Amino acid sequence: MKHADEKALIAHAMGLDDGDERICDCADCQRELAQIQATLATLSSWEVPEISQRPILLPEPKARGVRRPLWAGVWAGAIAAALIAAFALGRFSRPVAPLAKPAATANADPSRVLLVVVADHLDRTQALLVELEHPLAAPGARTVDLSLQQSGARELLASNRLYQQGADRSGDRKIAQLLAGLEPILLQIAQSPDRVTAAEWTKLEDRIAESGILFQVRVADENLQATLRKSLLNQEQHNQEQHKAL
Amino acid sequence: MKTVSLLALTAIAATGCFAQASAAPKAPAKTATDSSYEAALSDINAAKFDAALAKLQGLQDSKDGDGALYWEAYAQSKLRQNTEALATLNRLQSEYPESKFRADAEALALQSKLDAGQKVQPGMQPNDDLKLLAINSLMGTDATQALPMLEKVLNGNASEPVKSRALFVVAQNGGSAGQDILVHIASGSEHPELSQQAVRYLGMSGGASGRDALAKVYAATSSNDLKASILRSYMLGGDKTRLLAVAKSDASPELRQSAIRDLGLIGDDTDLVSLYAGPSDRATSEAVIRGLFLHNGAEQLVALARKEQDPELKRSIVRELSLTHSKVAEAYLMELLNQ
Repeated sequence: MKHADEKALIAHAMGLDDGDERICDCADCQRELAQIQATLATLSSWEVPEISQRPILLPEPKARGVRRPLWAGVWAGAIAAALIAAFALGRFSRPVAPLAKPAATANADPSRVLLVVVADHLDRTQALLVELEHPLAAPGARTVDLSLQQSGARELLASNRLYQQGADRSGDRKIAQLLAGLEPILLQIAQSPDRVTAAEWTKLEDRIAESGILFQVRVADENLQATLRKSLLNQEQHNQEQHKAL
Repeated sequence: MKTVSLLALTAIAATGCFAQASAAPKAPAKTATDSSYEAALSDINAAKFDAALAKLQGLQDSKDGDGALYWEAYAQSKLRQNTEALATLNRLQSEYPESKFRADAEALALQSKLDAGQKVQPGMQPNDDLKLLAINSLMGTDATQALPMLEKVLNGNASEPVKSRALFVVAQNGGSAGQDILVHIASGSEHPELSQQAVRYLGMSGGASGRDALAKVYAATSSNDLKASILRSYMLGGDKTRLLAVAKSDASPELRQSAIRDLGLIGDDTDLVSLYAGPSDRATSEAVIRGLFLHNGAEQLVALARKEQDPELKRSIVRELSLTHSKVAEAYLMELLNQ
């Protein structure tokens, strides 16, 4: 039997797949499934991100302008939230590799706040950019509705400016550059009309796709999560050493 | 199957909708002005600011005149031509006073002034977001002056997203005075909508002193939601000692189990095993089994399985063992199969 990919496992764990569909019963797939189930259980006590601003990681319809039903958005948001948490928690649930030497001051570290909020910001931005590829189009409508994306972009833009300022001040050039690259994209979405024709939407979408910003955001998000993970492991070791010293 | 059918039906219906939308009359034919404006935006997106400036020349009086002026100023600002950017923004303001770019132009003007080394007064800014940008800048030079302004935003009538951003500024720059504000907000008495965010920031940034503060909030609050947030902060901060204390003695079984799960997530096998209570506290024991699984504690799970006489708990342990990728687990499972 073919190994199940992550999306299939998540869909299975959430009961979204065909009930008759079997998941590969090898240890790796079953363990991965169990971790996802554990994560979903964990999620029930976690703050659920706003659905309209979370990543959509379901396989998406090919055709542009397809109206995604509301419930699909809800599930997509939930799955996206599960993926994010699985990403964060899954790292804790795997055998821990030998730790790097802890930083000299693994104690108070306000710069970690910037990493955390930017990682969250990038998640939301990814969601917005993916949602932009699939705007709502009512039956028979000649226009597509971008109002959700527009208001989402407006909020993200305000945060983006603030985080960029923070990254500039803390000397984190990579983050500052990424956020600087995001700003005009968010602004163009925020400035777009509530409703646009299919042609106008295609133009906006093509321009954003051409910029490659979604890919950049995804890569940066992955790197940030890895940095955070390393930072937390360092802190864990620091705590253990302090505990032993006591 | 029902879900798939629904998806298929929806997809067919939605594709139909799109086909109709696509069949709508085409947009007016592109003009040279449209093309130049579009191309300039593509250049902006690709950080080709010189090229964008060249394309925007002559578009200031077109139907996208306000946009052309805004993006011209934007490109100038990125090229560190702050004086020119501010002049362009002045032109935008005077020629297009009702432009939809007005608020963004104000933000760009503020940024250009800051980049040019000018001082800006937070109190003079026209909206909360610009005020925050100005305060954030002030934080770098005079936190003692900036913090009371942030407190004012937090205690005022600003929207929740604005307050949330204000809290970020406090957490990132505030030092010990900022930490006091975070602790106050984390306690949830005045800002329940922000308390979980403050807890998160304290856990992430506050180090040992932040977690000490969180422990006080934990002891003082009666909200299990807030306590659960604090446990997650302990987990993210790798604070096994406090998690263990909660796992052992908190009055709430849900919180004890959350703490056990979090201990599993940060990999504290020894303490987890010590919490295993067998059938006398089935929920706790199940949480321990899950926690051990989460950190690949196959050896400990096998040891528990060997001792456990309760068939239900033993089945739970074996189920988790069957999912671990471990030779110890495989050997034990083979042993069971051969019995």
